[in-house]
Amino acid sequence: MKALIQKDLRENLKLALIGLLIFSLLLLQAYQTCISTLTNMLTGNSSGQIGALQPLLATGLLTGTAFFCAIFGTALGWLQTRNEAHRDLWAFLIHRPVTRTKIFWGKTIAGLCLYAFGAGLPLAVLVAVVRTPGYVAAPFEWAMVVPPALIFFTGIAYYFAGLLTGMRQARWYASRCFGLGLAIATSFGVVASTVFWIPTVLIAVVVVILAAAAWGAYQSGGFYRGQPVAGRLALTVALTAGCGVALFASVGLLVNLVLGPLTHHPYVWSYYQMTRDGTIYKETNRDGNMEYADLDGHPLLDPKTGQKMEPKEFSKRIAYGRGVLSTLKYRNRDQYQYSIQNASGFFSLWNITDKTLWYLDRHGKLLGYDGQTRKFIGSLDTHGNDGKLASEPFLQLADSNYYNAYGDVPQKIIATAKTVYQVDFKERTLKPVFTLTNDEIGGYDEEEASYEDNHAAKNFLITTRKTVCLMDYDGRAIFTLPYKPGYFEYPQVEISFLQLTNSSMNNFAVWFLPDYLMNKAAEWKMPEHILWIANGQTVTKSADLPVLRLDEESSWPDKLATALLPPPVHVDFDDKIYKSWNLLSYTLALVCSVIGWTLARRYNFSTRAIIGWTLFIFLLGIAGLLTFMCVQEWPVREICTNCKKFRAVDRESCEHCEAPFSPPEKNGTEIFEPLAKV
Amino acid sequence: MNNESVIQTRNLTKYFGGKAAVYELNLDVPRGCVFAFLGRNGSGKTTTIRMLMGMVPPTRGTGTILGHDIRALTPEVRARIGYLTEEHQLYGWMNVKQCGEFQSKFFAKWNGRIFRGVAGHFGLKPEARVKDLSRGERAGLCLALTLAPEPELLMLDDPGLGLDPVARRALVESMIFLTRKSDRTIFFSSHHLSDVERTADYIAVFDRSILRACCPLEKFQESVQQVRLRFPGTPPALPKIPGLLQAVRTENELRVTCVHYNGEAETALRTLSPVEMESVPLGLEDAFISYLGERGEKTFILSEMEAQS
Repeated sequence: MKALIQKDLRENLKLALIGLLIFSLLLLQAYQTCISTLTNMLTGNSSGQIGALQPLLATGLLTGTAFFCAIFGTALGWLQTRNEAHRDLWAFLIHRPVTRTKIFWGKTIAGLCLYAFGAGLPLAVLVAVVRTPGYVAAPFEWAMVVPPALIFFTGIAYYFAGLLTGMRQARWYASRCFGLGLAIATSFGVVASTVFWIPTVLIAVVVVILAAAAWGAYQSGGFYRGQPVAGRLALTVALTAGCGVALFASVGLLVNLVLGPLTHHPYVWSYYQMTRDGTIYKETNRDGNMEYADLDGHPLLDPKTGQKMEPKEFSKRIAYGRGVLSTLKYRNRDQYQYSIQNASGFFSLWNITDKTLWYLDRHGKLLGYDGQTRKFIGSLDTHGNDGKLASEPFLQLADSNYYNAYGDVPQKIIATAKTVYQVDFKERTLKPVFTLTNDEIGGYDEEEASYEDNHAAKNFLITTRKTVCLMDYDGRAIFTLPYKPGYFEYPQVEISFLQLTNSSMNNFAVWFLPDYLMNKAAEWKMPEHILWIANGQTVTKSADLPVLRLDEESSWPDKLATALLPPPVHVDFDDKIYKSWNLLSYTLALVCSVIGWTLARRYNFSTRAIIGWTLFIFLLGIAGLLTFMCVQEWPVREICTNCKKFRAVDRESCEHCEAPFSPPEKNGTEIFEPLAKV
Repeated sequence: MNNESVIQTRNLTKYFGGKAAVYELNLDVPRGCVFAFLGRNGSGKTTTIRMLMGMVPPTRGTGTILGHDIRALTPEVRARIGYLTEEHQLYGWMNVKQCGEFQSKFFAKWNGRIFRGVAGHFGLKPEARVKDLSRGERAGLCLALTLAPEPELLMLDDPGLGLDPVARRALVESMIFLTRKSDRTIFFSSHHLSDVERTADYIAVFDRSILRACCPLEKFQESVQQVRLRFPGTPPALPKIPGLLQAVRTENELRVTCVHYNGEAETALRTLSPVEMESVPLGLEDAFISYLGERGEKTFILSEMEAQS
């Protein structure tokens, strides 16, 4: 096997070197982007994703890595087999006193070494650079290596898919690359995942399946027939995913590029808006056009023109607002369901002051990095910044992963579970504003400052287990309300800052918004609860409004597309599927399974195999039928000379009359003589 | 199972799509012989060899090689078989020496002397890269790699394909040298009938996927005979002749080629009352061309050709 490994290493080294060069340049470019983002943020000229400050979590780098690993892995696997695709060179490789399994593993070990060299080495160098102080002005922890590492390991799935593609013999030429479908689906799974172990298991399973499928292809020279059972099973699974992806992509293109434009279906989205006088209106976005109406449905007219209110005019009337999502319901960042590569899962950019970037990491620590030297300068904690005493962790908020250089006010307060602190970033000190004794802080948000009318932030909204409170920066309560309904059912609280008018003495309105999933389970019967507050503590008015939802009614091409999904999807996710279209899905699956049953009989399968394939096709619908037709060679049949019925040519005798095949017809020129040993 | 047969097939059949490339092949190749496998292009020779070597699965039927099922040849069996493919494909980036070293690591019985000897016979330099070798040199290198493990059975798929006469002669000499040295079997396909005539003990002839002949070389040559008949004028129309392969009519001559020429055929020809009737000896090439060529009567009489046109 050593000789095989050496041969394959030597044979494909050039490709690995090219890959190494391309990927190194790509990572270097991504690192440079990260540095320029930092520079722009420090000068206050740029907004951006906070992930861009940490290359390991930067969207651009991860996207580039994902594409590179997929292409490089596929190319490597494909070329390793295509180099020997010529039947005579393949015969030269295979005809030696070594099992095909050993030949396969020899190739695979060499291929994986080259993959690690071309894709893994640059990534390892990047991690080393990011870890070294003075290169990246953002927190680092080993868990951040997980997203690029998972993408790297996904590339191994592509590698085996490439091997399979290069090996596979198929009558539908394009279906040779269907093994890639499983790898592509894995990539999407990795990106969408919110916890580490799911993509890890997913990648491991997919790599095993694709490796088994490629190994099976080596056993039979790329044909389905003649493979061991494990290889056939793996190939079937891989091709099912491939057919699914191909079907999904085809239907997507058909719906979006062909049927979509022909049958435009406007989207409608409504939500409540409160104007500065405390009146609630319903704002409806109908296919990009805004409409405003009061709660009785009467259109809102502009008093100046008497015409329907224009968005620009309406936006001037909207009350400033802030919102708090209670962390008591979502205790840690994991529960915010960040995807694993989302920087918000690791840290948020709390503030940029004096060329220093302050991050709140996922452990509740406020960490400072010098933007110019890009070095860690220390942490700010509840015991001062010497770090000698154990600090209480600061509360994790559901922060945006976007840093807005123009819109966000520098944050002044930060809180632990019990105490709210005012932060002096210049002196690097924390001043307690107030402390709770028998309660626990759920969340807080500072009043929005406005550059437009020079309005400075004066207050912050804070929610605890029991209360909702608006406070000033000296710790005085402007109003305090009981948290009713409770934070578990209503985790989100919003405040609207109102203006006093002749008709209204209300200063504030407080919105209690229901939990989305709980409300969905309650069939949207949990209303939005609003309180109007005047003169400090007085609640002058309250209202319950039905929750407005996005109009989920879709066009018929969308419904048709979902109808093409296999029946189990309709059973499992029935709330997302249009029930009236379920029947079409089941009908299609039934038609496909009838075709499959007919074909399986034509193939002259055993009864068990016929039932198995028919059931498989019924469960997977069109994708199942395509898979069946991809893996099986078209059954050749001839008319039996004995019973005159069609018979399969791959049986020794006729399946109808058990007659053997007739010998070749004689033409009188035959010359035969028994041969003896020379 | 015949223990003396190194290759045995029973109803071996291969379909590509709806077309049978090999149909119901029954073959027994005795140990120690040189067996030539003949046929026109596309007649199924290479497919048969590839099936026997386990490179393509048969559609139906069975086969054994050195007593082992062709569908599951073990590494041990493969070590006993030398297989030379028709296009002599090797890794272009390797040089001659590297090819030998690479191959030697897999075979316990690797004989470096044979490798160097055969390579030297073809004038191959150890440092010459495969991609720079001529077709003949590459064939020589392939043969050296095939012979060096000292196989019991040599399977050569058209070894002389694309080679110039000198290179082909070198190849044939190597084959003769090897097989006559010990009790080894050579199974080869070829279009070069002079090579076959020089080396083969037995031949098998394929005609459009069907085995039509399998016999000793001499038997084949004996079975295909040509008779020349002279006439004072235009030869008369030919009666039905058993085993007729070809008949060529010229101005005053008729050449008839038959298989299994016997008294019945001779009597039928004598009914034409020729002035002269003589048997013409045929070489293997002529016999083979007649055997697989276009069947029936051809006319080269100018007046009749003009009338037909």
